[in-house]
Amino acid sequence: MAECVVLGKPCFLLAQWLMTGVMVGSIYSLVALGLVLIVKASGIFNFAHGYLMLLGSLFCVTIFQALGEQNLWLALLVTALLMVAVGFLIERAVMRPLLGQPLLTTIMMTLALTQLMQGLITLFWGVSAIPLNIFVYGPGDMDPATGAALTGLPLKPLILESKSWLGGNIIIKQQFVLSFLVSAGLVLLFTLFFRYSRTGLVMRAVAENPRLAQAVGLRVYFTLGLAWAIAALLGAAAGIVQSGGSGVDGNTIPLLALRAFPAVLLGGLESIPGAILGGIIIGVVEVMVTGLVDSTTGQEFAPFLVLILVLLIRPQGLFGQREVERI
Amino acid sequence: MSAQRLSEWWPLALAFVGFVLLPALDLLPTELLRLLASIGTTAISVMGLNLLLGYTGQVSLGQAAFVMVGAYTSAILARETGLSFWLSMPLAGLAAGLVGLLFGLPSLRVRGFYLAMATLAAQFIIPWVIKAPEKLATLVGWLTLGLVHPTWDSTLTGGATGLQVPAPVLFGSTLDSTRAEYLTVLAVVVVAFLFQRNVVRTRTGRALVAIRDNERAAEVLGIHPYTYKLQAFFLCALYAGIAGALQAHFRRSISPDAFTLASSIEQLGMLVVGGAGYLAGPLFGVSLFRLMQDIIVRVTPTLREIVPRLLPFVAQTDVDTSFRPLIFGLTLMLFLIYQPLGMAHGVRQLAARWRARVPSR
Amino acid sequence: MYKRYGLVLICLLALLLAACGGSTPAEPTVLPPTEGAAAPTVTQELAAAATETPEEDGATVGPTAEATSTVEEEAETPTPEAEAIDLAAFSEPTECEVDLTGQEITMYHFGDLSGAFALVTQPLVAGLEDAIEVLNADGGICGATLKQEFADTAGRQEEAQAIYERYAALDPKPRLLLLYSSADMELLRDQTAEDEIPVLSAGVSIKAVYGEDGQSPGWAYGTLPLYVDQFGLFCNWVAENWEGEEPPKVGHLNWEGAFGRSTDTPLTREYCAAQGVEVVGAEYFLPGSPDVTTQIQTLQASGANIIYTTALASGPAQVLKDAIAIGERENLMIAGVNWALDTTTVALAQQAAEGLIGPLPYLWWDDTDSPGIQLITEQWTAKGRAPDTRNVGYIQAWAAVDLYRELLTRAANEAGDLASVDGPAIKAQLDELQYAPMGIVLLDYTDGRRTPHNARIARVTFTDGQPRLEALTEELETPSLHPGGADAP
Repeated sequence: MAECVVLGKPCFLLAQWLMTGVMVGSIYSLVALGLVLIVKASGIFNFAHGYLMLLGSLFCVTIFQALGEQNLWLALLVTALLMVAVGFLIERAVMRPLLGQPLLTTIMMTLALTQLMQGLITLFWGVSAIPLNIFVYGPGDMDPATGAALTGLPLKPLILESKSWLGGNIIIKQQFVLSFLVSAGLVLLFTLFFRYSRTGLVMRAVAENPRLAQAVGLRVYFTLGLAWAIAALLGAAAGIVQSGGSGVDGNTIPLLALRAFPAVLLGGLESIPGAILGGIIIGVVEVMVTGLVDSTTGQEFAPFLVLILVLLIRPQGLFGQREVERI
Repeated sequence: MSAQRLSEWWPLALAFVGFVLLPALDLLPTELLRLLASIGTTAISVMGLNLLLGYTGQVSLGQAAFVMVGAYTSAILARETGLSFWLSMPLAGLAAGLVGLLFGLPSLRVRGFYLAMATLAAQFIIPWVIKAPEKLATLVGWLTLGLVHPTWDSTLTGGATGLQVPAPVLFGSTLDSTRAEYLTVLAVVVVAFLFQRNVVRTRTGRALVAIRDNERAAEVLGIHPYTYKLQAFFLCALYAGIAGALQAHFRRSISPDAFTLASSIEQLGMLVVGGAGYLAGPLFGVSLFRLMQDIIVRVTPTLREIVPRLLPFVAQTDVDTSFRPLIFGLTLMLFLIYQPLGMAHGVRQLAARWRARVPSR
Repeated sequence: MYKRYGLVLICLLALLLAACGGSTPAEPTVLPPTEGAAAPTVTQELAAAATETPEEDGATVGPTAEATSTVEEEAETPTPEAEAIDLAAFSEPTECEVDLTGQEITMYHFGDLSGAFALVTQPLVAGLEDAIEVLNADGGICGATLKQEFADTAGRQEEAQAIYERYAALDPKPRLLLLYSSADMELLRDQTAEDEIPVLSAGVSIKAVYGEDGQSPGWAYGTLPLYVDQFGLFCNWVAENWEGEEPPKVGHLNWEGAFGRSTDTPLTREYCAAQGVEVVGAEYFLPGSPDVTTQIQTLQASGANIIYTTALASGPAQVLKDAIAIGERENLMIAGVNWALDTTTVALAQQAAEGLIGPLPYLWWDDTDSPGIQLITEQWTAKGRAPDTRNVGYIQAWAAVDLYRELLTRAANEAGDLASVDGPAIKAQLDELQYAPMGIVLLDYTDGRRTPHNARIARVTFTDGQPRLEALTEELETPSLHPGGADAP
């Protein structure tokens, strides 16, 4: 069989990148979901989401280490509680005073929040990467073949046999598979929550018209606070999934959130299915371009080129529900 | 009559003495001139933002990238063609303005938020192109299915490490002293300020404000928001380009890592704190933040001693980096909540109160 | 109208003037006075570290003859490495001929202390602090006390530029700067030359040390072999010791940026190919990238069986972990530049770091025979430094302080006082320097060379769960691969 080659690269590599891209994209979907949630609940685009992600993963790694790297679930639970508190705090202290202010002011406020959080996080944790050993072998895990200790080593890869028809096997880091599953699960959970739970409905009502919602007796402030809390939770989840295995890096996670912005716009700013699909597309584009060109092109250029293309061709995004206010 | 004239003019005369005469006679400390020059350079770029954000109500997250376009354009022109700085500076402004239009065109048709996104894209795409023009060439090759093979490479832009830039020359003498830098920047600041003032006072300026206050209403009045928004955005990027050229030629070296999103956000913050929509806003905001930075730098060695002692988990070396964003973010937040119209507005209020208390004449 | 502007401007000027004039740079109280009790012993030890070396010498020379076959290692004994170069002979400190008592000397340095390089550079500050404390307790530099003043760029070049300008504007100008990033050095190269400030640079890209054309030595003096030279040495070693069935093929997997882009040049490719080691490709990734599997797989697809990474801390750690995560570690030799071969990499990659290979151009913590290393280890323990400071930065800091003392002493001896020791005076000393600070690395800048040219090849191994660097060779001479260098093809 002739070697299958497309664009100067063997086919199995392209298939490999496609798979990796979907996995990476699932994290973007999770990030995008957190962004869309706040847009839906309060019309604010949260530029500080990346720092919520970072904060969440730092909480998690600190508590996890304090517990001797033994009790992940407890660490996750405490992190979740802390993040809920952070979400309510941000709404109360930072966003509520701006209620009714123009869009510009809220954008500036979330930008100010990025700076404040960056400063605080640097002060408390520094900015060096901290290993977060989630998607790795735990203490006592042995290699069944050799009996060697595997503590801290990455999990065995998942190998899809495709040598016969693509010329090479597709190999996937198990960390990706796990993060994909976690992301997919969370995305599903929150989509259902937003659509079917009473709180979800209230949130939508508040976003639609806060004054009216208040008039009919809905707890507007609590609901907005809850939206921020959920966004903070989602951010923490994305941050933890991202850093599990490779470590919490204060220099990268906020940038990762920026790459999810194109995903949100591609999906249509207020659409949850759009955010999910947008995230996956950005992931695939990023990894394909990284493979074909290199990682700066994949990460610093390609997602933002997609963003420009969206603005040019379809500013309302794939699933944009409202026609964008045209002039 | 003449006494009144005098009272109108004496502060300006004093300012002239303070800002022009004393520095020209070398009577001010170099350190101060350096600080003033840096304030001036940044203020030019922030004045551009003021036209866009303050008067037209649009947000740009890519101002640093347009500064970068200006810096590189001027540097490359000077290096490759030996063009005089006095010509390459306006050309740099023009280049930045045109690149700005490229990003503004698609997004200015739609809601204001989309311009923020497009300029965010610019903030990433522009440094990427400058760092590795050869990659853009590859992509162009692919997109045109191999019909076009541009041969750009990074020797022109210095790639990841940047370029050394010649100092400006005026009448045969090289302007490489801090004093010369300061006086040049001052001259450009004055021109930029007067130009900004004129733009605001003309029909264009009134149209921009109308768009900011109510785009629909402006349209009904026969103002084409799209055209005016484009003009404002062009001017905004143009100012950035001029600031970039000044920075490149007086810093004498440029690096592709120096024009970050953080710097774009910082400029926005300076404008908001200084007072968006006030002519003096950029000067106020930039001065305040540069001053704060300067103070932070000076107290850092002390902070390095004190902070880890108070908060034992803080590493000595983390103190350096954390205080600047911390104080910047905090200041901006406090202004947004308690004085969203900025320092210029506050000063105006104070002045009004003062005038009300002391009956003049 | 004008009145208002004028008033505003005056107020601004007054404010700024007050800020500038009023605050003379805060005197940093860098070092608390040393505990009197500890001082005398420390003093003696510093002197001992420098002077006793010749006696130890006999022990180190011994194994030289037998250590010709390179790869076999004595697994248990910490290898008393045979030095091709007798470091001890060059570590004799110069005697003071002047008395500088009561004066103060400031050691200026800046770099990325909180960005991607932080893990490697932060211990440098700790090391400088400790080494300076010991030095001052020992009588300082001919009686003058040394202090450090530093600033953090967080990896941002605009910061580096601003800090440099601040330092260069000082009166007197810094006599000698210490920089640790290639990018900063490249940025400031021409300016330091213009300002006549010599720089000790731990960032040794060609452009940083020899300029854009690669053949113009400036005012920068590298404290390590050039990254290209290190890679050339690695190629030599691979050519001699390769045991794989396929011929050795190297893929570069580097950080994006001045540092990462410094290793792979047409000259190194040609040189290595001539040794029988082909370079099949180069991939780049952003510092902090959480995944490099795509790049590893791409390199493998083009035939690479060796990966050489010019990155540090999280960079090589990610490469090592991802090679295991895709089950390809057994099929790949993973190597890296000297900064990669560091305890910081091990701290992040943990077990996955086992087997990482690279050039080691200085003595290491495991070279327990060296009196310099003994003193450093002793002080590190005595100061209760955190485990993560036990890295290359801490060692380099001690070497830097010793070098500082030596240069200042020589220059002051020649000038007769401290006031006339300026940048050019220090440069004159550097140009004829042959000195091994702390006896851990030989800096030989004679013959116009600007970097040292010796290294061992070493490997990360774990003994009882404890990582260490095991030397695979004795000191070898690196090729010189900058354009116009002796070995440039």
